[in-house]
Amino acid sequence: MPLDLAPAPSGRRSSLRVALRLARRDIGRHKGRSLLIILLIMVPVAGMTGAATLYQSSQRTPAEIVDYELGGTQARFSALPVPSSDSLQDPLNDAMVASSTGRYDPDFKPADPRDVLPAGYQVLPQRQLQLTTGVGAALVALQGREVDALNPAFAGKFTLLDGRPPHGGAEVLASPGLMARFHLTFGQEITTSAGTFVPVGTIRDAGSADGNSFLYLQSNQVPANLAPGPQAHLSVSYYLVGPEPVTWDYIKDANSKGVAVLSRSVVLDPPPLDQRVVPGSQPRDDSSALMAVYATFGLVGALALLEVGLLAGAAFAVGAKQQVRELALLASSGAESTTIRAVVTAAGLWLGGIAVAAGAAVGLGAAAVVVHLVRLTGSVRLAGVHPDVPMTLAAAAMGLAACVLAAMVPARQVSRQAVLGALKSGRAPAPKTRRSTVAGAVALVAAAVLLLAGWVLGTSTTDPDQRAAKLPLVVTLLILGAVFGVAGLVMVTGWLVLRLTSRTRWMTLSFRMAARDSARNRGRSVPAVAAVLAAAALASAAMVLSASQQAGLRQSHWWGGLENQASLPLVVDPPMGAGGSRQPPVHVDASALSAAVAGALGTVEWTHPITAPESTRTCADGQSDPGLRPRTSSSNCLQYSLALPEANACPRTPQGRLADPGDWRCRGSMTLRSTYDGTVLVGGEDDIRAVLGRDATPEAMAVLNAGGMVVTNPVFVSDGNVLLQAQDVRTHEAAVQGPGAVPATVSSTPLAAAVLEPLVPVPYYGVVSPETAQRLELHPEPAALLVQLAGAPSEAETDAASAAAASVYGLPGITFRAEPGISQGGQWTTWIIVVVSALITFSAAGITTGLSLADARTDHATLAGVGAAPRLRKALAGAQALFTSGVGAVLGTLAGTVPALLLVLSTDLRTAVEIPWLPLSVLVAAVPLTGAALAWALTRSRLPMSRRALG
Amino acid sequence: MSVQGPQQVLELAKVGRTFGEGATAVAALRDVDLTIDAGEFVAVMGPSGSGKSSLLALAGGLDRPTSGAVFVESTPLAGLGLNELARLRRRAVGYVFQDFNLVPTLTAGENVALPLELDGVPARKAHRQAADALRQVGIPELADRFMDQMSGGQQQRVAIARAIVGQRRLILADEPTGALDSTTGQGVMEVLRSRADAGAAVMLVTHEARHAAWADRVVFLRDGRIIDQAAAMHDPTMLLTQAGL
Amino acid sequence: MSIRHSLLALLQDQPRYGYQLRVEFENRTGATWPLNIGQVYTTLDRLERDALVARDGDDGEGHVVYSITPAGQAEVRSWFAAPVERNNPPRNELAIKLALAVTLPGVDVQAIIQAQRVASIRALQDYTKARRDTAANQRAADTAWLLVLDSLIFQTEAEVRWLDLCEARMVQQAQSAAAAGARKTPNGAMEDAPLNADIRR
Repeated sequence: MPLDLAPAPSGRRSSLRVALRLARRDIGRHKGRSLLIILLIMVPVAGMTGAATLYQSSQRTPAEIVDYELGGTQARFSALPVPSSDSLQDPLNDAMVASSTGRYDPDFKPADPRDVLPAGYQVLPQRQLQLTTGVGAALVALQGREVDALNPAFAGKFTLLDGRPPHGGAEVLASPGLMARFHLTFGQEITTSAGTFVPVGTIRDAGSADGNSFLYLQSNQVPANLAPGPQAHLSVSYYLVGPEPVTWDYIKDANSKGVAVLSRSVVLDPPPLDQRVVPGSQPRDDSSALMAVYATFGLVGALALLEVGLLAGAAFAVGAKQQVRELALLASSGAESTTIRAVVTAAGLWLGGIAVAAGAAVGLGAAAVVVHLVRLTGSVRLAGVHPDVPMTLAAAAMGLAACVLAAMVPARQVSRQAVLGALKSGRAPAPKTRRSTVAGAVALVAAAVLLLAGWVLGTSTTDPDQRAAKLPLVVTLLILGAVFGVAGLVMVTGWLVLRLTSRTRWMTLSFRMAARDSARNRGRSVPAVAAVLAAAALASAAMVLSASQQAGLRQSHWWGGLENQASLPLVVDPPMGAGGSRQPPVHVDASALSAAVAGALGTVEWTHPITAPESTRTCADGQSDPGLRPRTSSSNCLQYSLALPEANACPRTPQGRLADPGDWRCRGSMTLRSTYDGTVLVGGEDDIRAVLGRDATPEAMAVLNAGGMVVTNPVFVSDGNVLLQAQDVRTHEAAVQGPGAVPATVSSTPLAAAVLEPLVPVPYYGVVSPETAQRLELHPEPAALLVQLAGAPSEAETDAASAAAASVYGLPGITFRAEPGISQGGQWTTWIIVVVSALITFSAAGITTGLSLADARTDHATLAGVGAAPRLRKALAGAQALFTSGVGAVLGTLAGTVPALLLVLSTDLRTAVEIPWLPLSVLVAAVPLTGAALAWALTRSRLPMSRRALG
Repeated sequence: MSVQGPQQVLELAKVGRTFGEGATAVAALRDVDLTIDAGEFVAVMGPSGSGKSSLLALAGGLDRPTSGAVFVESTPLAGLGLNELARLRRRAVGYVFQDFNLVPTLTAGENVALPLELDGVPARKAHRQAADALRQVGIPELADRFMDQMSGGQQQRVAIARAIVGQRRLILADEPTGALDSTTGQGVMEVLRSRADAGAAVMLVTHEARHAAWADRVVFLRDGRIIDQAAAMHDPTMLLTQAGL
Repeated sequence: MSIRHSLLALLQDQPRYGYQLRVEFENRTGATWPLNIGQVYTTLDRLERDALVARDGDDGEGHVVYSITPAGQAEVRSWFAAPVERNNPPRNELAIKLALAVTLPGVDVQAIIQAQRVASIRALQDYTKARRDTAANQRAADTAWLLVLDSLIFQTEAEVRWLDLCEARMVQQAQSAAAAGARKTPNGAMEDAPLNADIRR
């Protein structure tokens, strides 16, 4: 009877059943390993899902826009600040002009929204009022809203949070922020410029944060002397209540009259794109900014994808040895390679499925909790929980694919006909190092070429339009280069491990053993190094990108001083006297002001008076008699600034756009600002530190003491000199008329210069010494008191400081304003990235260490037998962890930093390249060392004897 | 065990296996001729490296010869694809290894039923046959145990049961007693012997004379060649003479 | 093999006459050692002379019945307690043969060893089969025979192992001789390289 080797009809299904059973049992049997795999895949999926959900949650849905902005009303009519009749608003945002020809029509006169209201609606107006209230001696601003907030039509927009509705008289509602700011309780009076009111309840506006200070007044509570001025139509919006929807055509018509409309029906059913543009309009070009965002997400996403795969690979390397043996056994029992693949695929699908489901759930859940907490605190930053379905699915698919691919590795080893070897030794056949090294080298070369090409292409032109056109290609090249770079490094890791461990004779025993072990068991050391590498690459890339973004924000922010620094003037002009007569300026005592502010605020770190040339005073602008000298005993019309050498002017396109925001001539202090903002200071070393935020260098001090100037920006320097010019503010250059006019220069003095760039671009030209000021007749006088706070003050604290200052000034109008700086989130982000990548590094290092310790149990027994100290085991674990995480971290940081830097240089982010050295060095040095210490500490020095070893 | 079909269960004809190429080529087997009939128990002895395990791998289709031909149940293995070889292993050949014989996540019964289930035999029928095979190796009561709940000898019996389950009558055993003590090892040899007596063809690779002696025929391998064969004389009168009594 | 002690041991059980003793002995040892009746009587005479047994008279059918004396019982006890004495190293013909073969030129030592191995294995197979057949009967009386067979099996196995060792040593000697002939190298790692190349694949 010849042997029948035809496939059995039901064999496929049957072997699939076996595969599923095997996979399920395998998971149940190795619970620790399965949990590890699930966790390692779950974490990145959860992270990506959470991030995507939070991002989506910050975007309002049309339904939320309608709810939060309109409540139950049909539409809102308000003024659209446009210069001509051919502008069109964004259908979803009535404060934004989406399309416009940009033509300026001097005759255009926008209509009052009230005049374009359609008939047949009940109209609910809301008027914004600028109110003030006295805090101590100071007057501080708050907003009033004259609106029937509790009208049922506003359900969804306005919600009574606490207290009760007002019953006429002085009873009003207020925002929680106002109550907190002025320390009010219900029933307590607050006196404002519109009268005295008694808040009896708090109300929440779904469209703005609870922290804002709003007072909600009824129309009969607003005194007549607050009656609308000529600009009144700008401050009132009208809410329409009625069944009839307001159409897009009606909105277009209203827009042409300068009236903006937010319509329920249009928001919920926006018009097609072709109806949203004005004929002949210039397309809005924000693509290059958008591209930078996409590029950032693209790079981080691509590296994240790689990392998930490598992490999954590392996770599956745990127990792969055993699994190879099992699969080989299966093959010897007659399982076809498809069945073997099915077993591992099934295991991968089971684990991956659980992992991505859990990851997506955890991500969504965490995001939902965050959104609810944020909304509970009254912030409107997050509109609602909006799961990002495509991103979540993509993250899940990515995780699942990575899991299945990683699970396939043992199956591939078995299918290479190495069954017998695997069965006998239980050791997976060594991966083909040479082939993967060659492939890795090729990938690295490709990465270098791609990165170079991207960089060359990105910097080949300075024309912003050409740049923008090339950006997609550049970004693609760079991202591909980054991915190839990481992949190539991962592939050469095996070779590298061999290389690094080949010269080990000189090492101590534990390091030598760890190195040899890594070299001999590349099956497990390579995935772990690769996982750390990918984590480090991702982390370092993210850190460079986020640091550069922070630096960019810091640069484009308009800094009035250092962060959390307030500047209070020491010379103030009193209000105009009764007959329009000017009073001489009042000089305020710096120490009194300092004491007052320090008494009102607990967070004052220091105060420092600064000195500047005499400010302009009693100088009538423009029309006064030019025959008078600019400076007399009673007046001063001179103002000092530095001349900008022509060669250093920030280059602009003919349209006036910055040709290259990254150009050094367009950066730093006083480059893009009008000369009115800037100040030349008089002082010494202490003043420099207080104003610029950094210590003066010896060179700077030398120049300063030699009669030169310490300058904040190199653009003003030409041949080592700056030109200090005095300008008469009464005059204007004849050539330029209108708002861009510059006063005529009266005199100019060249001064030797030393550049000392400030911490942030503060509005100061630089510092000259008192002697120099004397010599140049700058008439120095105390100009302002700098108050440095330890942290950002609350509104109530600001009010208190204003009140204290006002009491010194004897004037209510000067308010205290500390420079808020940019959001501090960036710093936190960087450190969170470090922590997460540290966790990944620790787990990857832990996996290898644990695996190798388990493998080396017999070796340890032997070592113990020849009298090795139990400490050796701990030392070995530490050395192993250090090797794995160290190699991975160094390579990964390299692979992440370089493409991220190139990306930063090629996009709009390039204005502010910043390498976060401290977090990076923590990543490279401290994390591996900590991992090693952890491994050392957590390894038991006693050898755990297995039953078999004893028996 | 069915004794139908051709008597020659395994035939190796001028089989050679060379590893590597050129100057570094190493011949593991050279011109090996060997046939095993149904009911015959053949032991292969030889020093380590003599090619014993290579021979076994070739016989079961886990490896392919570089020269010569292998026939299992008169079917030449040369023309078979990987999947057909897999089917061959689950329908005609049973392997027993020294160690790690059982899939740890399956019970003894499921391990035995594995080749049948892989071949599409309905689960109930496969498990009935598995129970049968376990009875034949003397451990019907262990069907529901997992690997770590059995002794080494019991595991080997399960492995033998898996090797004979179904229609298969070629058992390839690679040092099956290597990890066992001598009494347990003897028990395993008894089972193999009884399977041969019941009609299976058994090829045992061992370096222990005591176990090889259970075979009908002992083949000596050295340097990849069969150098000698020994068959039992089955002459009781000679026994005592030889013993020197 | 002590017939003297064996008979004493049987008599400790109960008084017996000569023929009875012979049958009982063969039953209990599985007829491994055939005992001739003359030997039995000679032995009994000696035991009586040493006062280890005494004649109990006639059983009525003309058989002289012997019983054990207290001295005899003591002797049996000490026999069981003492280990079997190892003889002086037996003259092993095989060892002598091989030792001679190595020294003589033109003798294929490996062939001698292999021939011996085949013979040993063959014997081993026979013992194993005999043991298998005996064990299959599961008779209590076969215990001694099984023990004997086991002993034979282990002896033969030891012989095979010894042959393996001899062979390995012969091969090594032949190679070092060849190496020494080719160039005068002292013992070193080079020597076993060719052998290992064959073995490690």
